[in-house]
Formats: sequence, structure tokens, C-alpha cells
Amino acid sequence: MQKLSAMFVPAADQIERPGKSLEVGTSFESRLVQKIKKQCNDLASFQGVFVATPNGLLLAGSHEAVHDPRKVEQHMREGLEKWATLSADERLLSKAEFARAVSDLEVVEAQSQYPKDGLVLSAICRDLPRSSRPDTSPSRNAYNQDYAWFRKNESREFLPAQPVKGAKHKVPRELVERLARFHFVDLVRGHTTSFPQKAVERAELSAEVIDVQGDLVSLRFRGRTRTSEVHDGVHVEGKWNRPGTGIPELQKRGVDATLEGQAVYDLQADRFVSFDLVALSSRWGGNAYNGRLNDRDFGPAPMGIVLSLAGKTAAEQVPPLYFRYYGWK
Amino acid sequence: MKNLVSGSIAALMLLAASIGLCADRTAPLQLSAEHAKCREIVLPNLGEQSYRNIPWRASVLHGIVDAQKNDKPIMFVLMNGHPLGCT
Repeated sequence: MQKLSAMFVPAADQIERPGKSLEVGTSFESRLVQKIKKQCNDLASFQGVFVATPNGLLLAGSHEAVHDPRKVEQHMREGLEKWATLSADERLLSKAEFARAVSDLEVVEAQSQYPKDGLVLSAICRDLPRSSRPDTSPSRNAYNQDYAWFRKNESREFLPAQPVKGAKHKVPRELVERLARFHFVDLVRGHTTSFPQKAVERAELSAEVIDVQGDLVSLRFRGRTRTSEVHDGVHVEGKWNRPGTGIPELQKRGVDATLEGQAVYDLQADRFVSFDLVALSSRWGGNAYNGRLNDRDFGPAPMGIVLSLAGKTAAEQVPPLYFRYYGWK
Repeated sequence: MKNLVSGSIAALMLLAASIGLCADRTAPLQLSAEHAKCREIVLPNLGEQSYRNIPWRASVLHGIVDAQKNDKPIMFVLMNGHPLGCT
């Protein structure tokens, strides 16, 4: 299987994101994806796994493969067989098309707001065991992955200006609100919307210097966040559920989290070299898109979120789900 | 959600080694018992993380450019959320 996977260039992408739509956009990339998708006779959804030539000839692919690893393998093998029959002209972009692709990629990379000298955290959420009602859902082991971004000047605000042992510091509310609104959200089984600022009832995080060894400042974090929204039950797609059996008329959602963590900041390198923050929370509410509707699983139920230092690979530079609401210029 | 999508694809494509979360920590974590337990439950196990060992390009465009450079087919996954981020 390793040999098989090495025969491809693997890529993953989001169909819609700010400034980009693979489904209806007119960029070189979007048009190429649309060309590939048109050759695939399956559901209208662009979600799927596809094997294609660089110039946009579909070799294999389907929507169902997203949930079926055997189908992925079948597509990969089928794709390779077809690939072997094609001439260079049949499989590759022309020089002009390739130059356009390279140029577009350079523009995209130049526009990236990834804070390479800041703080990038992996944010993973998962349901925690419930003693009162054992979870028997097929997605009981589901977890989700997101990233939280902080610019360099913001990352320095997680520790006191004078980081001596015993110094205590309140992390600016604006940064804690970012966590509460965009990262302490019930995304375990799918998407929902972020919290508006007015839903933030608490956003507190304190840092204490517990040790200093040369340039390395060790910090302990403690905090609490709470978000809460109440709606009148009016359905807004993706956010609130239509009235029905087992669905509360007055729909509420929120996350109440206690925070504990530890981090090490390197004053010489001017960056965190480790960072762990654990949010032990109770979440309530839900909708069809985040998977809570089917099981009428509106809580309150325990959910954990763990933030830790992300790596530097391309996969770990994917923007946060709600990045558009960060307000970065 | 993540283990229903990327994990199943990874199971096919991949490679066993893990990635070391927080490998550069200089002191052991000191959390309360309940927060430590929470952390242990939430963080993905090696199997769940195996898809991270694939040298993914994070956009179709990047994949197309590299596929052309390497004269290889591109295998790409499209989702409503980013398959490598929040799906």
C-alpha cells in the first residue's frame, strides 16, 4: 500500500472558503476541479475522492469513496492503470497552463495569513464519557481537528511583561474570547456556527510563571470561559433546528469550560516551545450539521478540547475554521 | 467526524509512525486529575493520527503543480470543511 500511495501526489482541499470556491469559482484551480468533477457521473456533491491527471482528466473517483477506504484503493488502482496508457500530452498541462498554475500558487502563498512567527495551536475536540447515558452512537469515538492562530505580538501576551518566577498575568480578554468564540465550540461530529461576541459570558485566563531556566519561562494557565445563546426556535440553516419531537422550542446552546494548562516560552527565540491547554467543558444545544439532532443529543454533556503546539507541515497550516471572523487585516 | 473521513483514507494510504505532540516540552505536565484524564481521552491515538504522515498538499492547486513537476497523477480529497482541518 505504501508503494501504491507513493505513485500519487496527495492533496486535500475545502470546497468553499473565503475568496475561493472550487464549485463555482472562475480561477484556474476552480475551473480545473469543475472540469474533473464534470467527468464524474455521480451525485452533484463536490465532496469526494478523485484521481486525475495534472491537466484535469479524471482517471477515477466518486463521492462515496469519502466513507469507503476500499473504494479509495479501487480508484487509485484504476487511476494508475489509465495513467499508464496516456502520453505526456494527454496527461500534462501545457507550458503556458503550468506557468499560470505556478503563478496562481505564488499569489495564494503570498496572501496567506498563516502566522509563521506567531503561535499556531492544534485544537482537538472530542466527547467525554457520560456516566448517566452511555453513548452508543456510531460516531461516539469521533473527534475533530482545528487550528487556532495568534500573531507574534499576541503570543507574547500570554505571559507577563517581566517574566520572573511567581509573576502573575491576566491574558488579554480579546485573546481568550477568540478561544471561547471560535475554538470552544461543539464541532465534535460536524460543523456549527461560531459564537457571537455577545454570547461570551466569561473569558478569563491567567498565567503564572512557575519557573525560569535561562531563556526558558515555564507558565501555568488557569481559566474559565462560558458562552451561552438562547434562540426563539426560528430556523436558520445550519444553526437552529426546525421544531419537532424532542427538540426544545426555546433553543439554547453554549459551552462552559474550565481551563488548565502549561507552556514554555523561549525568550531568546521569542516563541513558545511547548503549549498545552485543556478545556474541560459542558456543552449544550446542537443542530443537524453538527450531528446532535439525529440523536436529540442536546446535552448538557461533557466535551474536552485540547490545544497544543502545531507543527509546520502544509497540513498544519490550514486556516482555522472561523478564521474569517478573526478580523485580521 | 475526523475519524470517519480522513482516518479511513489514511488507513489505506499509510504508514505507521506517529507524530509527537508537544515533543519539545521541557517539564512534565502538571494538571488536575480530571483535566489530565480529559487530555488523555481527547488526543487522538496513533491510528487516528496516521493520516498525518501523508505528505498532503493543502490545496488542489498545490497538488496540481507538484503532480506536474513529478509527472504523477494527483489523488485529492474534497470536503465542505478542510479535510486536514475541521471537517
